[in-house]
Amino acid sequence: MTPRALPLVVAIATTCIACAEARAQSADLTVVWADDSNSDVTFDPRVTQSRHEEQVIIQLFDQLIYGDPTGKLYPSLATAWQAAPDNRSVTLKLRDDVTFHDGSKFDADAVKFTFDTIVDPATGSQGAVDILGPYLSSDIIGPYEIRINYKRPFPNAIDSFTDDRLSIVSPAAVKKLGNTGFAQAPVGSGPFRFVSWDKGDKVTLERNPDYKWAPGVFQDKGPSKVARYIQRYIPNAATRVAALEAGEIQFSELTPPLDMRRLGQSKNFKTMVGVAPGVPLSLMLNVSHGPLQDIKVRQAFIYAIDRPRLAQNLFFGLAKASWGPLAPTTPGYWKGVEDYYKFNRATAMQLLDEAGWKPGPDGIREKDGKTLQLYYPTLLEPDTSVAVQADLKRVGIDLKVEDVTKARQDEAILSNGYDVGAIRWVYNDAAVLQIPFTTANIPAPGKFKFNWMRWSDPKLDDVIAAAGAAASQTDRDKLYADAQKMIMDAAVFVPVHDQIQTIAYTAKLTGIAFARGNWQARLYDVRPAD
Amino acid sequence: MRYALRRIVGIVPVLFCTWTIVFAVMQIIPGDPVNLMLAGVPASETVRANERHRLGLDRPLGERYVTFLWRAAQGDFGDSYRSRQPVTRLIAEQAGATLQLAAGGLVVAVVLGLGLGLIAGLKPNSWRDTLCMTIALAGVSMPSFWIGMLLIYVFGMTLAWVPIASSGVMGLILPSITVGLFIAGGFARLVRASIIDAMAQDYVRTASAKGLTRSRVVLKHALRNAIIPPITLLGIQIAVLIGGAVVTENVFARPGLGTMLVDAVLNKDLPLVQGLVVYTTAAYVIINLIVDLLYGVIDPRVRAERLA
Amino acid sequence: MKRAWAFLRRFASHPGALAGLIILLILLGAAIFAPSLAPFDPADNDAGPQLSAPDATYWFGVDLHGRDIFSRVLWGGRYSLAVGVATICLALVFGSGVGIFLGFIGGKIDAIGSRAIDVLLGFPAVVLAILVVVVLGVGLINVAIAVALAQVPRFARVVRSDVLVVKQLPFIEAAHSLGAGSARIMLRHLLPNIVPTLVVLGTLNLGEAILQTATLSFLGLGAQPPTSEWGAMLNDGRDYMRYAPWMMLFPGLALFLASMSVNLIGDRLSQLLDPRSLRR
Repeated sequence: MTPRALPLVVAIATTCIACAEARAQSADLTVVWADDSNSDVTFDPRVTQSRHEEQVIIQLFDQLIYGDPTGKLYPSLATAWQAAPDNRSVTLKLRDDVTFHDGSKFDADAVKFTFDTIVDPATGSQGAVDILGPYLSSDIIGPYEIRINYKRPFPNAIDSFTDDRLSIVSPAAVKKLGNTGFAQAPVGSGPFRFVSWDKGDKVTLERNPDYKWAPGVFQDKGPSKVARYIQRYIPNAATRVAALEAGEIQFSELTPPLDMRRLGQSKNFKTMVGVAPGVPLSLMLNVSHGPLQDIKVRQAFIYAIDRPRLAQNLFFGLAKASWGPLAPTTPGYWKGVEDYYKFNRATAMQLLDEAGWKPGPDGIREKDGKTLQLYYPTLLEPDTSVAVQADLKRVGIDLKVEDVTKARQDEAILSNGYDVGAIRWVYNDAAVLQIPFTTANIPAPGKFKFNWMRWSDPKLDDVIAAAGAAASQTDRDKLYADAQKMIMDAAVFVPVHDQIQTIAYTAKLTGIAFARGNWQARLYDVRPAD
Repeated sequence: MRYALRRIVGIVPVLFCTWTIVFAVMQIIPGDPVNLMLAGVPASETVRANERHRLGLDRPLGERYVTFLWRAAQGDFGDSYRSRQPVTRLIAEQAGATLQLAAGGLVVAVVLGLGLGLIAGLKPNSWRDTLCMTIALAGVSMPSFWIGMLLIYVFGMTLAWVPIASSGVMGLILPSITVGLFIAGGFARLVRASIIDAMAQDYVRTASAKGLTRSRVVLKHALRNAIIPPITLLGIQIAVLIGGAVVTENVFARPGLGTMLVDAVLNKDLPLVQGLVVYTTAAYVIINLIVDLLYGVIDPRVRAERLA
Repeated sequence: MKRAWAFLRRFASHPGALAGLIILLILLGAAIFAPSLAPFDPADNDAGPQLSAPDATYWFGVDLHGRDIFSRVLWGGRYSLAVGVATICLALVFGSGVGIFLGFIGGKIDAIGSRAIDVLLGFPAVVLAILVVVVLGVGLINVAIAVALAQVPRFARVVRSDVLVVKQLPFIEAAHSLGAGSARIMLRHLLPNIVPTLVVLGTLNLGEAILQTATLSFLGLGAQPPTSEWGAMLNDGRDYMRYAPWMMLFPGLALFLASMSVNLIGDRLSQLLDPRSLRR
């Protein structure tokens, strides 16, 4: 070897070593995500109704169309799509180079199978069946071309295909394992494939080495740099944070706000916050009995709560106060809600005076011998309840808060033995309004639904139905804005604060991205930070 | 041996009683297991009816009771309503964590309790005695969740000597102390009292007079007899621990059978509740049996009595 | 009167018992006079800057909602102590009833009843209490009932053994042969013999009853907001241990002192009253 060649050899050697290092790093890059719940029961996207189960599903499955958190659409399993002018069908062209984890090929048949089984009652779908809308049938036009038909105009169809609950499953796997087996050992076409599930402890996924069809938004379309993805169940927030700081996990979801602040300031960790679209954490006022039948009392209730202060105190700036039935990140959000019921204690007290409720000896208002006491059984957010209770006491309303078991709450709801209930709902679209606000969803014995205000406004029912079938986006937006205005005018609903997903993670990694909905995170693109 | 067999057979009516009580209580508790399982999801009536049928909840009460007893007698506790896994497997999975904590608590309780009790009992009414007994009483008076939180704060957060969230041996230290402290308190007091009793016995004074050194006297004679009442107490408390230490599991966010039982009750998950109750009762009875048999080994007078 | 005074002096001659008595009186006084002593309204969420450390104005610091912890601990004594006492009274009444019944009736019923008591003793009291709360619903009153029921087995067992002992005593048989009815015998002869046991047992278990009430509130099943029961306050403080440890430090200390003082008193009482006591 000549002396002149030496530097070259050294250079090559060093590069080779670095390459091998990098490959070794990505060869065994294991990331551990800590999840807040441990009651997952199924990873079948067609069946699930749990945001925690969806965190696993998003790594395992692909959708026809990829939607980023702002709502922009990218081709994923479908390369092109076209809705019919009457919105009763959508034609899609599909990729021809995709295989499922079990080796079977993805084609139009797989899409038809997925959608047909979603609407089949035997599958027991709890979420997908609603997302799929008025699905009628699928026509296979060619091996990689399909037309989806609907019973009525469904302008939301293309958008619906971005939901992870409409992920495409492997028909071969479902047929082989059966629905129950598939739920425990799912097979999709996503960047990770399923390895094992230790119930209540962790789920293990490994990189899909054949993956090369990442949606257009990602630079590098090949297999993930993450070799293994482990999802550990750590329901206790303090334990999650401790595990993150000890290096036992790399990602922690639902990190408490004070810890987010502390970790964000440290150079070893990074944080990210997502505001979930859908219905913010809110209180529902039961208008079917008691003092809340009077709209003045309801308005006083809302005026009495200092929502910005509550949000600041409980979330230290991470979550903001909410003003309407939809979160600001929901498509179709009407900004007009922000003008309603701004905190004003004096107005609240005046309204109560006008309604005939006079302050009693202990400060709680009375009328006709009855005290203004409202019963609020709740499962969610005890701290928020305490803050609301304190604000209401100041204007003379006695909110009797009970942190109950789920059985008790259900009992109270079904038997109409409550005055106030709480709700929150993560949903990508304004269509979520039908869940708490339509007449059809008033609970009755044997029928557990979510209109806990027991409020029936036929005009609102019509507006919401019309919005669901509206032809153009502008029409939809206008109708949903009308709906939000009607809801606010009726003073039946008390939005309190945004729902936020707070993720803290090690600064050694980068590339984590929120999925559509700002709740689950896609870890496909995670790689060491440099 | 015959004595042991008689005791084991005596378990059966106890179990039968317990199962009946469990079944009856689960019927009284408000809440529909199917609704609880579907956790507020807008599932249609058909889905709920199907679930009810699948779980056999639509059969008459009497039939359900008999089926329940019959299967239980064969050791088949069915599948948990919530997670659809066999109950026996669920219990086996969590038993490890609970038994670990029970063992850790036992170690702490014995070491601390024996130590405090001996020091106090050998020199009654001295300042050592007062100090040890005050510590013992403090152990019994402290709320376990408070001591747990204090330990986490001091040793986990501030000093960082011990990990907070580990499932290994290191992570067992703080919970064991929390659980063991309470038991150690009662144990220490009994050890002290028994030692004082035993040291006052005639045969001890005779041994002392014969010239045996104090420690030999203690170890050989006094301790053997002194240990019996404290061991009974220890047995009872350990048996209770094996049923799961709900509060400690809660504070340290550890899995365990105590938490599992509480969750199962809140979810009206009858098969799981029934399985756990059997396990707890059996553990309690078996431990008491072991303690009883231990008596026979330690104290020959008791053995003779039993053979008579 | 002289006997009572002599008793009190004997009681107080033990320094531990004296300390316990003083502490308990302080706690009781603080609880009873809380409305006058507390500088702030315990439910006032504007009392001070949230999560601030103890200082001259806020002796025990401020919690997440801006409430003064010192005021809350003062008021909390009312709930934690009162419920503890109520629980013991309930347990005494029911436990004695069961114990007396079983002891007297003997035979098969006694055998089954005793077995049942043994089984119940094998369950952590917490679990029994939770079971009762699930049936009755949450809240301090239901917790009192639940903890009382969880304590009944041990009261029943002790009372039952006492009854068995007393039953054998010669003067009972004599009274019986003279024609006195069973109920009469019970009332006249049994109760006086049992009272010392009950007093000791009650005091010794009071500490545990206070802790068990707090435990259920800690688990979220007892006191409801804004009630500042000490166990509930510990639950509130849990999530903020790192940032505001005073939220859990002081309520826990109060619980500890309450329990310890009661135990010290109970110990001394048992020395003086219970001939079968193991302590010297």
